[in-house]
Amino acid sequence: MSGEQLSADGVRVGLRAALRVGLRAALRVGLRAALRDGLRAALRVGLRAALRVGLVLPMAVLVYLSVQQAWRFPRLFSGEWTLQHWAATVQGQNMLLSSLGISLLLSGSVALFAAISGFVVSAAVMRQKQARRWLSLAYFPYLIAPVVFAAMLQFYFVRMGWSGTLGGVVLAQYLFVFPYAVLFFSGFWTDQMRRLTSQARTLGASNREVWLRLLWPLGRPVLVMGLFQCFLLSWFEYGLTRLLGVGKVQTLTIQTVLYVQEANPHLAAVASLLMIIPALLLLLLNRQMLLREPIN
Amino acid sequence: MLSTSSRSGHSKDSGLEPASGGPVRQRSKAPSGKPRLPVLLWIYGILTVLPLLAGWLYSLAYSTGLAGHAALRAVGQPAVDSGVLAGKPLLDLDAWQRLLSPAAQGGEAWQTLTYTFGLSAVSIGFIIFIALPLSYAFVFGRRSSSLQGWLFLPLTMPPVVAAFAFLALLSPSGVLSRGAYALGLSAGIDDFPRLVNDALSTGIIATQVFLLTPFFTLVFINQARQENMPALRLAADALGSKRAQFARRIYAPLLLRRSLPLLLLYAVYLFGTYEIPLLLGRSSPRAVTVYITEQLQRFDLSNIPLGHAMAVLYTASVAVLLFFVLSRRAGQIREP
Repeated sequence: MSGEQLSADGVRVGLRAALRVGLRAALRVGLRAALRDGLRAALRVGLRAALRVGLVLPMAVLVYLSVQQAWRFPRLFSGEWTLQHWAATVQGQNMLLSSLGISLLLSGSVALFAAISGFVVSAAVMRQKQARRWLSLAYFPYLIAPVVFAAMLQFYFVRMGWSGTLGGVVLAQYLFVFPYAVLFFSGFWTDQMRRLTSQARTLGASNREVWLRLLWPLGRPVLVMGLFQCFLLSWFEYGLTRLLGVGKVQTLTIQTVLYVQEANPHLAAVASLLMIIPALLLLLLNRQMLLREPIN
Repeated sequence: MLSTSSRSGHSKDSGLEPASGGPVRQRSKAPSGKPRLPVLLWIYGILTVLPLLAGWLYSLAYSTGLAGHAALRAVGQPAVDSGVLAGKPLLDLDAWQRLLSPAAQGGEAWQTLTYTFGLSAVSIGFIIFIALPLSYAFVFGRRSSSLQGWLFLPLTMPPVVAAFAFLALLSPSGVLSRGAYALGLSAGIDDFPRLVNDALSTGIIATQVFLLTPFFTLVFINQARQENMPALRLAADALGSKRAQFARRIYAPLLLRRSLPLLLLYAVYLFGTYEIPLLLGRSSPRAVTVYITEQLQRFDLSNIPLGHAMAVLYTASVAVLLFFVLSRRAGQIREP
């Protein structure tokens, strides 16, 4: 065997060995990467599913309880489906329909008063040189717990004969929803808005014209959104209504707690869902409005 | 209000003139020469400050015995000879002494305040712990607008409804307990660990975290986009930093710093929650709000001043905390 042949064989063997090792390594790395990617994807899917379940489960429990006849331990699913709780509610056989009406009237009035006055007052506040300081006043009544606020105001409401009346609860809720409305609308009065108003005046617009032809069209989406937020703030309220309504103003939140305390989870679930449905509708509408007319 | 300001002819009252520059009309002045405050600002001040101040002063007066004496005098009865106030001095600090005495002697103020403070702090901690990584996943992961839409679901739930839902989920006869029984992990109601009305306040914390985590996730996502985090991560990658380093040293600190005032405001809000501790909490220790309402509604009239004293203490601590948060916020706004 010549030296040349020997060296060619050596190269071939070497190449083969290198190829084998390379292939093995590539396979190992590829497998490991695939495994890692697979695990990552599985983890991602698992986490997403867990997030969805976590977000929906409490609401699903409410829906389930509202269509169940008897839910005795230890059965997870009783299988006794019924719409009788909903039918009884619609037919007015329990207090929920009247509570829904009271809640709608209460929250609607509070939202309307608070949104309109908050919009107008926020304009005056934001025009001040020390606007931020003025605005900070609104945080105090808004962030004090409404139930404590009610406890401190109870004496005055009793003296004025407002305790236990719908008007009294509207007024009390207005006192903490109004500051929120001012805070909410303060974002609308930007420098650009001031310049526009000023320009309209320079061109001879009166106060009335500025409000009707400039601020109302520009502010309408913000005003509607603020109205929704104020409505929800009042819609979700429990402690203040309980204390100042002294059981006579039976809103849906009051009814829910009553049913929970009476160990009637089915009607409590119906009351809860009645509270969630308008909030869900408003949220959908709000999101659509946000998508249509983005507010900077 | 609108028509009044229009009729008055003072455009300042309508709040539409620029603070400086532009065609500003003559500012209305008081006889002393000082600029007059617009009517709307008076209304604003009256609606925001007056009720709170009046309520706080009444609670302070009641907690010190002044309101009780004054009320009896108003109906023409000598306070010193009447009912629960018989023999009591005009200024009676008994309620404050009882409230502020050490826990061993029955004082409940510190226990209640620290318990409520702890609840809000732990809840906010969990919210940050979950919302930050979630927002990171939403900002840098695959875009999933439907999943992001699901985050809005808890925002539609009133606290009282969320508390009831968690009661149905976590109570010894609730969904989790039944699930554990079906899987053979629990032998029955007594065998299942207490997750509501428990010493660790698991139910309260879980409900608060459920309600607020989606909101803060959305806030963090919004702020991350405003801060242009994807560009920052590209820069960090170019400088050789690892993803975990970027998340730990840039993403989290930047967002936390930006949202600190909001987090503090929500801590104040959680400090005053009522419905959730009412349904899911224990009878002792209680949240501040539950303590106040219980004292005010008890049959024993001598407990009412205790409730008012706690209301005074709570309002004062929230006011101090708010003052701190707002001044910090103002500092942040002034920063270039």
